[in-house]
Amino acid sequence: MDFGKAIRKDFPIYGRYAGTGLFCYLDSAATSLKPRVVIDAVKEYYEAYSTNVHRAAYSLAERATEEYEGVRAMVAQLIHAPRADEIIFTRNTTESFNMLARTYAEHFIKTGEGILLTEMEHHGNLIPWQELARRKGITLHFIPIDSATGALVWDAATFGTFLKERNIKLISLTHVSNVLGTINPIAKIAAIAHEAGVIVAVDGAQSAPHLPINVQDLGADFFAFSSHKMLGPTGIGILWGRYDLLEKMPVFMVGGHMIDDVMSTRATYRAPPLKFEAGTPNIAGTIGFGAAVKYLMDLGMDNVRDHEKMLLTAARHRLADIPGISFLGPMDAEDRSGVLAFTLAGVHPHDIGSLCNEAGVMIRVGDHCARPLHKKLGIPASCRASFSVYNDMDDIELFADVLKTVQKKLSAIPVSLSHDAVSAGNN
Amino acid sequence: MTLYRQEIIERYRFPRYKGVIKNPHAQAEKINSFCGDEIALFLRLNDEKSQVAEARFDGQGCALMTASADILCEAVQGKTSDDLRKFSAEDLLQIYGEAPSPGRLKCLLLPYEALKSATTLL
Repeated sequence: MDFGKAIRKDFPIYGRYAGTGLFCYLDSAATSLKPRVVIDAVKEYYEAYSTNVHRAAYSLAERATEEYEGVRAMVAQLIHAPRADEIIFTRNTTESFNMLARTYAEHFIKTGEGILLTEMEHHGNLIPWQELARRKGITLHFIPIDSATGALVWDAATFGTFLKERNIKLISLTHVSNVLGTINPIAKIAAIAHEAGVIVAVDGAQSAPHLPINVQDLGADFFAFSSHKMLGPTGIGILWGRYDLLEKMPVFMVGGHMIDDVMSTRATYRAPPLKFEAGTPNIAGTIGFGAAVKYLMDLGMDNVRDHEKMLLTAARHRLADIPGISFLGPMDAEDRSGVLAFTLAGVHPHDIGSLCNEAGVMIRVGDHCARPLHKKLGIPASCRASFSVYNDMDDIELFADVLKTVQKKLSAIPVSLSHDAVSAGNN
Repeated sequence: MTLYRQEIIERYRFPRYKGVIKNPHAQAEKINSFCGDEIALFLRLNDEKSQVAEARFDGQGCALMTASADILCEAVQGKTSDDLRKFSAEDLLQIYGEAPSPGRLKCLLLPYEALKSATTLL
């Protein structure tokens, strides 16, 4: 299967910047580039059958409904969900967690009970729980991380007791850290959690684009991810949940589309997933996402993983001899996924980001929406390069060369701060 | 076009006005919690207290913040407190010379914010 340079022809943005030498995209963990098939699917909807779904009295709307609903089955197949009607369309991963906090957790977790997160969570899987905890008097607990290895610090032998003692009812944790790249041992954690009667929600925003996913093997009860990080359009996300849980969850957004019957003063609601999808949904985005899922499945998620593992290993090797570089997260590509974050001693991440940009290399700098993690690591910010199917060794080579130049240009020589120097400098 | 012309890199690596003034007439600290940059700005007036005799900055930050602070300290020498009050962000950007991207503007303006706070104490 082809990857990297061989498939860049599928991504129109590469054509747009061809020959400029200024298009080295290494920020796919923020959002991915889009293949022609996704753009065409969106365009085709708008040009050929831009009608509403679920109210078909005519053929075009039937086609819209069919295409839109068909994406559920494709997504279910991608993540090995048992049923297509367990796939809820949201706006993004963050909305998926807001929905979960406002529905399942709000209803089933009581004052005084606990929710367990980790120290490596993206704000999208942190702030919704903070707000819920504040509203309901729920206590948040955190599985710590080992700053050196980027791994969760937990003990399988005592974990069940820990959950019971802390009265934990829900664990919500990331599958892959968007900073460290750590792949967390979800299946092991979930197995013990379930023995203790604890529900497990998984943030798949950084795993679904890069790894083969089987929500049943993971033992997840909920799994959330975003289309735009996996070659699909922005504005469409997924919350997958076990059907028996979805059935007993209260509704989230309410209004049109999600109702069964409506009287003046009350309404009844449709079965999942439609009861969670109020109003006209993002039809074009969903259909575009379907095209992205098909593109990824055609590539094969095992192959995607292999390609990105090769790039990670190569990048780490090529960058290793840059003076002052420290990588965040696990050493072995086997234990991590498509992101490589680092700091460079004496050079500020924002300067690295700006100078990379001047050389056409796009990386992310800052706290990557994981500020508590950066506080734990004792750094205000870091640089992050991340990879996807269209990246190749030429990206790694250019990035390494640019980073070496930046390091030489900016590595600060310690400046004396003696007060004598101040007086002497006063003209 | 580069935000990092030679003068900016020189001022970052060898700032001319980095340091602390003991017993300044005014000082102010600012931090950018987004990136961890922090700056303390010190102003000492002349004996007549009519003009800035010297300005110094301390702290840590990116090259743009550091160079901007160095340029600012140079620019305010000899200015009256009235001049300081009139000194605008545009004035600083004009002296700095390059228009930063919106994302980096905050880096350049952190020293300016410190100057504005310090000025209120004069």
